[in-house]
Amino acid sequence: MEEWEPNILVIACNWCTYQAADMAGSLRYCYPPSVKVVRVPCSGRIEPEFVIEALLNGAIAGSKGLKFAEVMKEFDETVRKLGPNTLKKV
Amino acid sequence: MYPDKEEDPFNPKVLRELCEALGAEAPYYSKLVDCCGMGALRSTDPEKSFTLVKEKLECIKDELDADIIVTTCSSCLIQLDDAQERLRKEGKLNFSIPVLHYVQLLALCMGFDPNQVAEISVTPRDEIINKIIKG
Repeated sequence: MEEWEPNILVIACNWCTYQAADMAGSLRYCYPPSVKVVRVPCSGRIEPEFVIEALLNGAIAGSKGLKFAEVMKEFDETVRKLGPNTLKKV
Repeated sequence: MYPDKEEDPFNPKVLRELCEALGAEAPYYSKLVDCCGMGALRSTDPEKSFTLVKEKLECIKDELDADIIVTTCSSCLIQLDDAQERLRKEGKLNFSIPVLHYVQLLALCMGFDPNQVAEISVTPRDEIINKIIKG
């Protein structure tokens, strides 16, 4: 069996966190590839259904470039400790 | 699972179509998807937050000279309505555009009592509400 990899979904507002993620990329700060970023026009755009769908797909739920990279690293480590999301089996 | 009618969230059309269904014109303007400045910014850096909302309001005034601003976000509603009055009081804004939640606009168009469905606002709305009621 292949080793479990965390699946971290970041829903980022275009005007704040996404800018940080973009900056993190531009400045070549590394953050784990387990992190996937979805850009939204505003955090108000996020429907509860988005989060539920992400969780059902096995995701685990998170502004400044370096800060983004650091938080994502930390998040990845925490998630690895927590292990896979059991909702995915539902 | 989630049927999303919005094909491109960065060129949103659903709200504009819903307004058009009520007989209004809802044209595009260049800061349509720009941030209203609410969210965490309003509590952490009010000055920047007011700069964002001022730019958005000025764009709405300059490009559309709108009679009304309609939003489906209660957070944007508070910001666009309340910050407008603050900016006016500080002499940073010399116009006034009433703001309504889409549901309030719909209720008014369906003939509900404005005092029950659209009473609370900072920026005056009476004029536009009377205009809507008269049809």
